[in-house]
Amino acid sequence: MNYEFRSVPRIVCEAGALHSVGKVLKDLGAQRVMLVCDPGIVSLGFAVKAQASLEVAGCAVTVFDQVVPDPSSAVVKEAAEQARQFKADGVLGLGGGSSLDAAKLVALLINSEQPLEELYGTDKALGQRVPLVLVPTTAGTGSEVTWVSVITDEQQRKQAVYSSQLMPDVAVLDPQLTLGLPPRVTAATGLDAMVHAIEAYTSRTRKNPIADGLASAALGLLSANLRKVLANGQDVAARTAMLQGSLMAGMAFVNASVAAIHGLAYPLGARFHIPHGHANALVMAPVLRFNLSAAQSQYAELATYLLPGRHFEHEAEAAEAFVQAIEVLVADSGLETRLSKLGVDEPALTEMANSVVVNLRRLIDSNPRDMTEQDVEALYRSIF
Amino acid sequence: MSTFNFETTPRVICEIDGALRLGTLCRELKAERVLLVSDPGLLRAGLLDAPLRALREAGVEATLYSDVQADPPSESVQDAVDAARNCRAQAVIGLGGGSSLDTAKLVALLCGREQALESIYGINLAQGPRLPLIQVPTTAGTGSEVTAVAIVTTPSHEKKGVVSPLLYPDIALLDARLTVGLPAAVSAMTGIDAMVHAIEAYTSAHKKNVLSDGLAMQALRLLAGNLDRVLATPGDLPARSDMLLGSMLAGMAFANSPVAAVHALAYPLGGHFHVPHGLSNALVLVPVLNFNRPAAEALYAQLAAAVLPGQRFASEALACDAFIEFMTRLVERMPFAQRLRDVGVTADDLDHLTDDAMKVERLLINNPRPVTRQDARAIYASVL
Repeated sequence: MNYEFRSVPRIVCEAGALHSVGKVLKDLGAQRVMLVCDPGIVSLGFAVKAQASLEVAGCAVTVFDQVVPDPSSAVVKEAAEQARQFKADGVLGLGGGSSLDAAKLVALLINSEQPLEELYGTDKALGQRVPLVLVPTTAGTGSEVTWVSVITDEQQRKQAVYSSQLMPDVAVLDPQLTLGLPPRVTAATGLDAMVHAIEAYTSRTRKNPIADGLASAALGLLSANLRKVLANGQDVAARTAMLQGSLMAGMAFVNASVAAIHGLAYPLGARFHIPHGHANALVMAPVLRFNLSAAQSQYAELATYLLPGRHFEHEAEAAEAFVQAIEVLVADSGLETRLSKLGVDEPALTEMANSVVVNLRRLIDSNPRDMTEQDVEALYRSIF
Repeated sequence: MSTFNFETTPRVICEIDGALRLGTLCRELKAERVLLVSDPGLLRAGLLDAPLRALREAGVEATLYSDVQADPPSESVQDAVDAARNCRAQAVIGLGGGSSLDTAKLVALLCGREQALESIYGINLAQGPRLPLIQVPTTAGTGSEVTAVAIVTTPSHEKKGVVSPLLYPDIALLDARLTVGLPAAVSAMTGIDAMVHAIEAYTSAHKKNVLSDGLAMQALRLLAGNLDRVLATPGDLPARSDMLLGSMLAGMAFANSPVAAVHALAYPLGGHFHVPHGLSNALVLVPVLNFNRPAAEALYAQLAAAVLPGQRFASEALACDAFIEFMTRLVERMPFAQRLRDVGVTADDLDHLTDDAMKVERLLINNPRPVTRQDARAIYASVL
């Protein structure tokens, strides 16, 4: 019954909103802005548009376009150093989860004396970040509304920084930026967002009614629109709904926690560089089926959002229909569903299972059903 | 609407006895001297003792201003500002009903930056920064803890509003313990008020969006499920907590998707007959729902799922019926006046009330069905 809920204070949603990000930053008091993105965003022409908007608003701009997937600590440090040299007093993150996570840390490091390594963990940041605006180009990670950044350290380990300082001032949703996403990315990121909503709703640790309201609304939007955007990537209304659903799922999970799906997905990303959304999609359906006995009533509640208008005689039927609908959705997504086809070797399954229960305990703790190391390994084997 | 701007309070704490943490929270906001803004009723009831003690035990120098009046006159806001200046407050805490919270907003604003109250009436005329601000509502309620508006009464008895995103507090703290002593009539009026916020936000004609929808739906679910419970068992802390949360979620929704004809028709009752705001809303709610039905049937049908969870309806029309029926029966069993004549209105007053209601054009434009003068008069006449 006791909980805290943090939210980004402002959300702008509008087709073409990228053209007005300059004013948004200017209104926050920024004069010298670093744009943090990746080379893909530059080649799509988005970086130039953002830069033009900032310049029209009267801001000086420098661009750091070297973010890579699962960004390394070295990349973040390099960007922060360039931002300091430029005397940046504002940061614009534009891209997928990696660019947004990097932008958050840059905004924090600009005025901080702390080395990046000291920030790993929860609430370690002492400094005050500069104004920060985040514009996602996938729907997605929800990173634009979370206070978490995940990076890869020099030993190739994933490190997370949790700090209220990482919450941006404004999240800007512009569906135009997602129209060209390839179906594979659309599917992986869309399923990732659905996982956020589902795991937030069933979280055993920090489930709360605000997150519940957002998660259930998010799941409704995402499930009603994922097939539409896969069928027609240019469907602006459906792309908008996917971005909105992703944002709401992000607000939900950062306040309620994710669980075992993320737990099982992380080692797949860290060891085999399977993109985060795809990794979640791989383990999603088996984990839901594993959880069914413990989460039946919650899955039944979610069935009303995933399958609106369907009537169920009893809870067990609704919960089963929910899990089946997800299984079908993943199968129809076009994503590869076998680990062995994605470069995962069999001996790794045992090691990954151990790593999940040892290093990602907090995620297993949030799972509606407890999981032993044997359970995790069996789940990996079921999709090998 | 797929295009929207959504603003809200960045941090919500929902915790029984959370008011005892005010000292720690002030420290987090780096404030050593604070002004606590409240009203004489709460002082007499002894509700301020524990929070004040907690502040002082945390080493925070707390000064009390407990002279807030209902519909706060601008002079009393000025008194509170003087009190804050005299104690060199570094933060402001509002603890009370809507009037205390509105006063606290203006104190934080006027002490953070020198500006005349008269110069900031209107939209976005205030300048920042404001002092750090924590809002602690003691009714469930106005939702003022998460809205960007403060209303004062000028010396010429006009109501004037300050609207600015600067008025969102840093923290909204929901402590159900503070609401257990509310008299039944106040619980009932404020509870219906909160439900009206959710309903009107969900059916608002222009700014309705996916976030306000999700929040309004969850708010209505909580409010409908708990209002009878708090009336039957005033000390039911979980139910009180859900009412506070529902009220806050409804506030978040209507702050971004504004209220409409119920509020427009309610205001003149407050202005001329000093009917409490919640009761004014309750008096006109049901006839407005019936009036709106031709335009809002689909939306009311969706709201039926929130107030009657688990029920199935054969058609949208039947779901809409069930929703209006639910609200009608709920208002009927509330322990307060049911007819305008019970609060002193006579047939001779109807024209005057109607004239004034039609002046609240800024809200009438949000109504799902256009309201003519004849319509407004007929609505009043139907509940005379």
